[in-house]
Amino acid sequence: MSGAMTTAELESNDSVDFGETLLEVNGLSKHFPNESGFLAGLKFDRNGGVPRPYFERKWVRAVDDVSFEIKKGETLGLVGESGCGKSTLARTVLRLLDPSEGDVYFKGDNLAELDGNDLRAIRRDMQMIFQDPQSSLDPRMKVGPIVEEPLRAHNMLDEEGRERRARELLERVGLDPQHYNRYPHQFSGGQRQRINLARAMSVNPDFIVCDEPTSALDASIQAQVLNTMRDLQTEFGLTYLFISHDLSVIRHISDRVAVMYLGEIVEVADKEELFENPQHPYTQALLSAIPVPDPRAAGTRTALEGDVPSPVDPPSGCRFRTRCPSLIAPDRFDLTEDEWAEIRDFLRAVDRHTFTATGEGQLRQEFFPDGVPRGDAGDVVNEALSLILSEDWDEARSLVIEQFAEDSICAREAPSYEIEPTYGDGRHYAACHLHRSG
Amino acid sequence: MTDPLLEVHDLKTQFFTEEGVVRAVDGVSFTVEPGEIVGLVGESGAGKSVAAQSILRLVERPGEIVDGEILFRGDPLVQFEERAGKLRPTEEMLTNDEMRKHIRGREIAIIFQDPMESLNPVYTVGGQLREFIEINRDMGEKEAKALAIDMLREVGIPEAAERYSDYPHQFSGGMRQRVLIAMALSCEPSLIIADEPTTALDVTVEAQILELVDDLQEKYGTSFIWVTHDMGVVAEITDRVNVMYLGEIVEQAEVDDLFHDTKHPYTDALLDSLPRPDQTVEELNPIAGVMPEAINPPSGCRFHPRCPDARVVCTRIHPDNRIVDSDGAPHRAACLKNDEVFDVGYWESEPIELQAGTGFGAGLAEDRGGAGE
Repeated sequence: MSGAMTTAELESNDSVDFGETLLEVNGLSKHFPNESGFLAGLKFDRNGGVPRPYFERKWVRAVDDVSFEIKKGETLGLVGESGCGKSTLARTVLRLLDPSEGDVYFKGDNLAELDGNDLRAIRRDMQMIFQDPQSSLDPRMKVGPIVEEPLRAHNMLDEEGRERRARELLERVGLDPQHYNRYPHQFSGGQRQRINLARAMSVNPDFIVCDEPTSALDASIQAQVLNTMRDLQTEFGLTYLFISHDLSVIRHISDRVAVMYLGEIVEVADKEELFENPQHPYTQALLSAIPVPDPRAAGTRTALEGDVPSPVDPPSGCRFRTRCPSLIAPDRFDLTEDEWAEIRDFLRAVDRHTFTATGEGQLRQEFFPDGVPRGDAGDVVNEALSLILSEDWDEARSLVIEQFAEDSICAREAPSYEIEPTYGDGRHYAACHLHRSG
Repeated sequence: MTDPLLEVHDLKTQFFTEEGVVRAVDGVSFTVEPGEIVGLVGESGAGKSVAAQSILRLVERPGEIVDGEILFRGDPLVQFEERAGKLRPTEEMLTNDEMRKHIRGREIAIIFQDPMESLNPVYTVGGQLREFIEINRDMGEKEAKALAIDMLREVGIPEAAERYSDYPHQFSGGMRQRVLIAMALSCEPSLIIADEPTTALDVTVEAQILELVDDLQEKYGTSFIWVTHDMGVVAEITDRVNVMYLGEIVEQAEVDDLFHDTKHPYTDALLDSLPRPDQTVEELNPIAGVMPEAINPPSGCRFHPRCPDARVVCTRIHPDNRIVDSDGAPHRAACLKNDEVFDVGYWESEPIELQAGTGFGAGLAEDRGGAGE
């Protein structure tokens, strides 16, 4: 690491060794009020007489009881679809947002409890890179001062030292040090993201949170930036929390991967294990959904049904159960797998109202070509069918949901299981009841 | 072979800006056969969207279609002839009025990337769909409404009759894109131009939409021009592919040939720079430098400053898009490496050093297109 450190101030005081835990997140939650303002949540009880006012607040449970750890020098990939809470999680980890519950230990200090100067001091070691390289750079500042800004904020180095460091960093991230006096608009998207990298690197942090850093870039430019990020990691021993919706990028850059769905982490494993041996139905669905850049590999696509439920009122138990292709049958029914699969499709179709009933024969043929299953389950199905035929959709829906969905273990218990890995020997966590023993 | 549905010959679309003339689409030719999905792929700035919009003559000032010919079932959507030393539209070329009444929506529909921008937020989803059907299919209000609800159901909107009177903001992104597909399909056009329709969507939603398009395409036999930057989507959905670089088509082939018998170094480099979801790639090979601007493209082959295979001859001779492999469907590529076709002495020519450099010393955005640094 030649000449990068200009003063003792920048020497990293490595209290944590490589492979030791650098960041530990414990039961972290972030809930936002669903409406804001002075009278938010004010409701009126209109049942009889004069309406009585009362307060009832609804909360968006953006991040709910999330735990993970990151070891020094590794990259943890955090993947999930838009709205799953991955960016909120990242901001809460850095305490840019105050957590509603839970702890974040960075090098042994609990960030959730720090404030004022202590928090400010520890932020020197944690930096962040955002998705949009355009809006994260002040258009009226020159590139040099942009890169120096964190140094100034933390009172590090004198003016001359800062400029020297800025020029060095520009070169490190693959820009020309001569560009010190240019403005951000004079750079392309990929180059702007490099400026962001240089700025994050300026205070010599240990930990960088990267929030979709290459999503706005073209494929060939993305590869350049990803390679640079890897080189910097090796050279400076950086630890990344890398957030992306793009599983290909995650597979390339990460050592371990966490998959998020509706505010919760549903699976964590080493990269190879997660991609080759995914154990959560949501991870499997995500993986099968990505288009592979090879026409000969195309074909095995299983599209997920429906939309993500609202985080205001998430499903009980496993949050993925309302869309899960492997929802488990309630224990009290004695059904074969095929029978349950038919009932499950029927349940989803009734729940989403995706068909119109034209006649009993047609309905039975469509959902139960081999006849309705015998026993209790069959009775419920028959009752639901007759409700649908009399156009009573709401009754039919609540009947099948109550009987088939709410009684499944998936709805009754929150899943959490450790799995024996097939690839490597890292920990493999999957929040899915398919892995309950017995 | 039947006649092509759409023929594009030597299309040129330019933007007249203060800095100079941007040659966004510079001599592009391709065809679309009935019932096939044709990919138009390239990085941002390659000119793929402008090419797609030129087909419907939707390019707005300062942009202008300056030359070339576009035939739809033989009707000239764009056609020029030389009169008094200047290129002028021919008499036969459809008027703006004819385009609006007979082509747009009815024969050729277009779906854009951002469904929120294509739907009016102050009208209900169903109302917009109904109005579109009324105008384009000469139907009465009642009939059009019934068809609108049918179409919403067809594209997988649950409770279509109830959601008919919802507003666009009450739909999720994927649902809005389904509405636009319903709108495009409702007039049973023969060609749909899809301009990055799934780029803004999540992968699971994208998979749903691709599935839907597959099914609908089978059912209605509609042709598609699928504009995208995503090679994964190209592999998944298209039959034939046109790869664009800096305003030109540099390679044209059936999808399997394009990926497995690549004939242009740009396509090769693009495929090589992608991280893969199905295998762990240790080292990515990015393409050096950035795409120059179309205002002052490099001499000779436009890709030569970034091409790992560039030789001196590439800086002088501009290769056109020729058939380089006529086994089966013709495979075209605009690269002098295919010396048996171009015969300009590529292999005898000296290799050149990459001008773009390997990292980002490639010069500033504003310097691009110039001599570099």
